[in-house]
Amino acid sequence: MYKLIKTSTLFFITILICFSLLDVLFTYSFKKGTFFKTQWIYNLKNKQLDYAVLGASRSLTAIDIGETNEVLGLVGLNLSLDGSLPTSQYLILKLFLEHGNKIDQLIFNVNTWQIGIDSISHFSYPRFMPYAHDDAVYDYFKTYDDNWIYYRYVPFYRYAKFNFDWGLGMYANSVFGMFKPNFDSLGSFYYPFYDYRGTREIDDYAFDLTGDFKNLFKIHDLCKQYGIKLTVIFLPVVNLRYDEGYKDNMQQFEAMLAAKQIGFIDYGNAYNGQFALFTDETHFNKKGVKQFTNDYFIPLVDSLSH
Amino acid sequence: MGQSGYRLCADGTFFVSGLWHGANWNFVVFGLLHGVALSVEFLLKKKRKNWSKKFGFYYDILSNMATFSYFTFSVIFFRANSLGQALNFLKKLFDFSAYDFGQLMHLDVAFLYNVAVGIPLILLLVIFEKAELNEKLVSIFNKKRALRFALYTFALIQIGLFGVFLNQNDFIYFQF
Repeated sequence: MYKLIKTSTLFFITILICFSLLDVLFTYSFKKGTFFKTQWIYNLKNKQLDYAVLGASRSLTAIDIGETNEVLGLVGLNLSLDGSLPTSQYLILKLFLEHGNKIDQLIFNVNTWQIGIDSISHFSYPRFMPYAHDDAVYDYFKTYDDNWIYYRYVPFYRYAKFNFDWGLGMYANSVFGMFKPNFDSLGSFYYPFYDYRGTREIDDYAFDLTGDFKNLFKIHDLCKQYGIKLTVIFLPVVNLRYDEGYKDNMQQFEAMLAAKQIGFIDYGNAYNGQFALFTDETHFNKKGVKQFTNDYFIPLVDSLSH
Repeated sequence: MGQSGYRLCADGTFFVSGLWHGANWNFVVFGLLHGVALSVEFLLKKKRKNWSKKFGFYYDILSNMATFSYFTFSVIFFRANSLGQALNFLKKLFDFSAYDFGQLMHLDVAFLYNVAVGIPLILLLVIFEKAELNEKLVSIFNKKRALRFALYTFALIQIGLFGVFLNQNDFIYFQF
């Protein structure tokens, strides 16, 4: 019995040491990597931005930041995270600001169907795994999921569980830089095709105004704390039921934001029905990006910065 | 029992074991494929012995590859939701149209990771299987605790790196 306990203890310690070393090695490499957008943003330090764009995939793929910067002579970045909800968007903005970066204007795209959700999306959830030892990340995620205690304190558990995102392949990629990230040097991604792949059925895009919009207002508080002017926008969609109900809903939402001195611009109807500019119901193709940037985004940033 | 009896028994057993996995035609095909394989193996018993003597190592490698490929092929019928889906999968598998090739160029990291990691792991399994048959190696393994620890640790690390810990419902036996 004594021998069994001794051997088991020895084996357990061996395993613990091996996984701890692997954990340190992987974390070190992942923190240096820039493949995922979270890694890229996390590594940005002491930047002075005239403006930044925040949101999910819609704002990630809708704006030509390079052209805006060139035309207006400003410095801007796209901080949007694909597949994210306002919860992760708040966290990534918080981390960005805590790392010494400064923003004058924040343009935040809200998706009407997501704005009231207070949970972490399945898609963006694993993207923060390498930062489980960062108190800001850990404390934030722990309020949504107790598993983060294990992710933080059990060596290598988080990389084993999410090994499709953070496995040996990503480790090799962090060390050798084999794959380029799917966003450009200013943080934007553009769909590589022009054909429309969504439905042509008309849809309601109304805000559910009964929620408390917790994360939107947390972003607003963060902006106030760091002296950033926040403007909320709703980017164009192609299959919008643009009726009195929609207009009324948007006016109510605008009034709610105005009460907190947050500006709101609804672009939802700007290219309604123009399928040649979209890749699906809510995302532009490259043609749409160019048109929206020139028609609306550049004038918006220009007016905000004066 | 004669050769025909043996083949009948093998086919029957696997037909039933196929059905045990689910009352669907794809499971029947899965079972029959295994039954047929066993029958063929039985019929070629003498010939295979001769080939093994004649070609040695190369025969072993080829037969391992053939067995693995055949098994993988049969799993298509096991994993599909219906016979139609399995046949459609096979049709797509051999569709070398430009679009599918184009898709290959845009494989993301996770898919490439599967390919890059899967092949060395299969080779590793073959090596361990061979080592297990070597009495000398087995004897060393049983005597040296450090070696055992190292191999067990290595195995656990492999599980950590390549195991599936998300969506466990995808693992078929968890569906029963």
